[in-house]
Amino acid sequence: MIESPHETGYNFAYLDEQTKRMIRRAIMKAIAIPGYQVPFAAREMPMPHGWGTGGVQLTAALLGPEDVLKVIDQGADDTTNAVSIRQFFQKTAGIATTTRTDEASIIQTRHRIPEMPLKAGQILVYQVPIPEPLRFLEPRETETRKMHALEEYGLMHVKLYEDIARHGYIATTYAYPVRVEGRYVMDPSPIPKFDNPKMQMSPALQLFGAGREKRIYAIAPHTRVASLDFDDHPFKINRFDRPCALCGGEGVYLDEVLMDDRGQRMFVCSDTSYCESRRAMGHGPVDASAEPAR
Amino acid sequence: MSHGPGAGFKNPVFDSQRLFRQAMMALATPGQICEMAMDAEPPAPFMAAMAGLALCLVDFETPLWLDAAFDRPEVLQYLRFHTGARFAPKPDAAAFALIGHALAMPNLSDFSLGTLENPHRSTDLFIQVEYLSNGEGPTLAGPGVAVPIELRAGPLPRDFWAQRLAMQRHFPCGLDIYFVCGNRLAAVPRSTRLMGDLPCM
Repeated sequence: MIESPHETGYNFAYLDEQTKRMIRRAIMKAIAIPGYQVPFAAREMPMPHGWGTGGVQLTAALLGPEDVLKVIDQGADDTTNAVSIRQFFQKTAGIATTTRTDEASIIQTRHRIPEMPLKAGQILVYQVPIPEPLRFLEPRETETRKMHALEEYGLMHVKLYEDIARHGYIATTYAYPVRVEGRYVMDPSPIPKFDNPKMQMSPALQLFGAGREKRIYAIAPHTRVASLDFDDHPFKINRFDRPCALCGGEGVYLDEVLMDDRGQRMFVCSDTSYCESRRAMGHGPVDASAEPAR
Repeated sequence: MSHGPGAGFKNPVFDSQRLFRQAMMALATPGQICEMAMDAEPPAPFMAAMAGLALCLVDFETPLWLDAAFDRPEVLQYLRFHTGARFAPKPDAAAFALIGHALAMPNLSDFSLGTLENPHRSTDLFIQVEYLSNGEGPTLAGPGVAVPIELRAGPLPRDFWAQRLAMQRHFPCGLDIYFVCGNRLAAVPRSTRLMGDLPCM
């Protein structure tokens, strides 16, 4: 037996073997049918729904003693959700954890894709609240299942068009629907649409788990993932007009941080690991006055 | 029978996890040949990776269909003891099909392809072959394939790849096929597209 300092009384990584097998079979089907939501018998986990029980069950079914796990919550390694899930697997599996994107074999994420490009062999596990992209357009599961079967996605385009009619542009900024390999319309989970292009042809395997809704879906590596759009309103990601206030990083997703009650605020990298590694390499705030005009 | 079933996993938790990850990466990278190291002692005609797939994925929830080569008392006893598997009377009632003699296998359309609304309710085929290599076979492309790759597996029925090609237009219905050769494994999921002229087997 492999001895590890983990919590006794539980199976390795908490779930029993029969549950892991059931989840593993669902993962296999999900990879074989990219973008299709495979139903699975999600278990009660020792944390509330909405805390990533779908992602946690995926991670539990994947984890082995050699894995190195990274958990992020909105890009950050040090917020409550990320810390508690990381500790959960430290306790129940005794595996190594990291905050560095390039060191991790499995990255469980809530609502961000790391800034550092992922590599072949890495697995990105998304926590998904509502897996069905059509759910707010059609509440009945029997109907959405038919719509996916018949590739009946006109309603989704109507929704995006209504954005254009109302605002002049597609105002959906997160959970922006994608089409996987030209077939299934998929909810990429509430990641900012800024991250959507990172899913396209990613060398990493992407797995999505929704615990409350009991669905698993996947994007195999090197799979076409197109954000829905129109010829005259092509998909565009939001750009930030300033660099990160801590590391000076550009072309990254920034979080707004309020500094005081007089409207002072700063914009910093949402990906804390990326920001820290840049600062460790000597990058710092860009002095706007010293910067030549670009 | 005087002997009990052969040994299964030495360490069920870690062996099944490792083999699952190898099988999953094989499925996620169609055509790539992966090692599936196994130290179980399954009865003939089990190849090592075949036993690995069966022990890590099959249980009482997944009806299993065996072809004539596998339909032997030692095999039934081994699978019942280690997996608790139930056996399906017909190929299209099975979640997994174990095929030891591919030349005599049923047509692909005899297995369950799933339905448009529930494409995941299909049969996974585990096929043992005598040779498995990259090159001089049908060219695979699609999700998981960075650069189109040729996969040579066999011996297979003459029209195997033609049947597989004809099935592509039914996507998302279809079959996920795993080829096993000794302790090596390659997968051709339903999302994989066959390109170019098909070699005649």
